Amino acid sequence: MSTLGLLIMLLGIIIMCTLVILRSVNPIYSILNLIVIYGCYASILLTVEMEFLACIYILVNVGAIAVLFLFIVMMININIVEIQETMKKYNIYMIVGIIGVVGLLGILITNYQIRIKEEVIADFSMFLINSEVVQLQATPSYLDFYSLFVETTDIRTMGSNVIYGSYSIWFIMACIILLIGMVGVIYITEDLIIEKRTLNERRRQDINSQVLREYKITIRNYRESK
Amino acid sequence: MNLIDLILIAIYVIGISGLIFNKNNIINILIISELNLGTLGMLFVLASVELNDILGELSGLYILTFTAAESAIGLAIVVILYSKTGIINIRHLNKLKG
Repeated sequence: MSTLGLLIMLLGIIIMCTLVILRSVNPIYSILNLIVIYGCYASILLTVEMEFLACIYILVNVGAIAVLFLFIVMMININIVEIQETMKKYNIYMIVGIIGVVGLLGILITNYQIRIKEEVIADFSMFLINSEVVQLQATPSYLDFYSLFVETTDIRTMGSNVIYGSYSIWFIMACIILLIGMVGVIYITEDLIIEKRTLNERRRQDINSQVLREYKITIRNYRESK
Repeated sequence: MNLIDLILIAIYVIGISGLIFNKNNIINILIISELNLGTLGMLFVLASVELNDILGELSGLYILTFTAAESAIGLAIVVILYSKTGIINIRHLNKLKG
């Protein structure tokens, strides 16, 4: 199985999930499909050999943003009259599952069989008497340490040359954008917090009473008070 | 033009059509906009792989920060809208008034 076929399969899954998101009424389904889509994007990035961005995509989108959406869904009562649940809803998942199983079987049949012929038989050739197999000896495989020192990974180039190097202004701009987002969210929801505090005034901070607290008055033993 | 780029552009067009046709739920609209920005980032990254240029990867990271900030602010607006009106509908968004 070539990498292009795998990429097209992942993109097909992404298209199906976007169609599900467009049609869904309940936001929880769309959040779950969003998680699936970002998993597919991360696997596409892994096939292109960009491990750092794949990790970041899963960390940020699945770990942070999907959880944020789920928090909001928990906070808000969403009264939606659900359309009749039929098995038609799950047809898309069945198609995706069938495609995935067929792809895995294809990988197993094509790639794994060739490796068995070349390497595994050569390893067990001492137990066999057949002369043809004995001649097919395994080539010595060793770790090339020099290439490990020389090779440049994704993270190293991003860190040393790009983000902290010549394009550091973009990094600072991203930091400022995140700061503005945080401050903006706090500023927008500030009125809500103040309204809640004025409603129950017990929660207001009284510094005098806080400082004048004593250990003997505040904390009592349960048996003594009884 | 690669085939994968074309498919990603098709996904982007589907997402924008979803923004146009979805008129009820704000949370769904936020999710779809997030998806659109994710596909844009993937287009940048794959173009950087094709052209052997690392700047596309940097712009992919940059778009990721945009999506995070955008979704946070949008969800804050949703929370305010729910606490003031009790309904999450995009037609009631004018009741906030600043």
